[in-house]
Amino acid sequence: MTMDLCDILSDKMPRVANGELEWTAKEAAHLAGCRECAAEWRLTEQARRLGDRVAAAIDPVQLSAGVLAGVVARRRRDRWSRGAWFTTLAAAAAIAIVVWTGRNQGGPSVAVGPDSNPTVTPAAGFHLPLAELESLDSDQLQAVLDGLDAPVGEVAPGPAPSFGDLDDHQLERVLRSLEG
Amino acid sequence: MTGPAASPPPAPADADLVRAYRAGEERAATILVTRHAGPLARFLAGAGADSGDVDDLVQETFIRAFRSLDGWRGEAAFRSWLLSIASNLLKDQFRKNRGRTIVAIEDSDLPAADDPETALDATEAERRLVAGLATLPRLQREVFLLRAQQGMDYETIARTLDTTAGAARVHYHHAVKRLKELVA
Repeated sequence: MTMDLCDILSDKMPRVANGELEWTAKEAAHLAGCRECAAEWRLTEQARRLGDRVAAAIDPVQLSAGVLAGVVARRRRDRWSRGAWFTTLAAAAAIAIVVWTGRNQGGPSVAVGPDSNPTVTPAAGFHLPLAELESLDSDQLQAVLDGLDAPVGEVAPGPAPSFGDLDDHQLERVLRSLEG
Repeated sequence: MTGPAASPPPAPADADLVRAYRAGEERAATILVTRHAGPLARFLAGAGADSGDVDDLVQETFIRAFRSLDGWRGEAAFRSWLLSIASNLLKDQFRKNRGRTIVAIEDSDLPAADDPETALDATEAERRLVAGLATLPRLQREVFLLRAQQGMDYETIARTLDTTAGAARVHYHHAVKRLKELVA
């Protein structure tokens, strides 16, 4: 019976301390005579007063201003970091595209000069079939040189050698070099 | 014919204030801060926050709350939601301090009393309570404070601390038993 009353009092203590409920005469009498309940009641009352001065020292107006300013500052920071992240991502994507495009342009690159005449420049990794050139005679070599130096679209001054000018042996060597 | 005496308008409910704040009314936020800052500070002070940090922790709790109002389900009391944010903040702070509990045992934390003798007794008792709370595991300490200091029932405590009502009751009784030995 006493234990039941102890439990009832324990459950009721926070609400009595809060002023929401009051002790009945029976409960008050029990509280006066039960050391365990009295000790718990003292703890509850002390706990309720804990931090009172810290709480009283808070200036709600100043605190509210700080909270609102903090919320705005965090929002701004979030937006900025989202923007920075997006810019970094876009820059990385742009670099990746440039690198990828460069790797896939194996042939000669075409540059447009100020006279609007496109010129051809050998790109890195572009190989001339030099071994085959060794078998050409000087007239044929000169014709090849003239052909290489001539801008695209410009007619070479001399007759450019064609594959038809090469004999079977020369053609075979050119073909092998082209095939690697 | 005279009408009934005009009574002051009822204070707006937290849910209404939250709605007003979300609609852009900053004054609603000020009312919420004014209403809940005190209990929040008292909880933090009792739970072991350094008295010099309480202001900052209260402010940080409100900032986090206002930034994540979408996460507040209206069925839980706004204060218990704030207290759960404050509890998580404290947990983070203790973790940063490698589990070292910071206990404020300063006269400024203790209640004032007009009678110097009473004040001295109260001061000593409060000092022992603060020291006793510091020896408790975090859940026991926070359950005790939410119940004894904030007056919450076990269901609300369970929602606030993400536990069950049964576990909260057990934590409370453990805490009371230990505090009786240390403080009484």
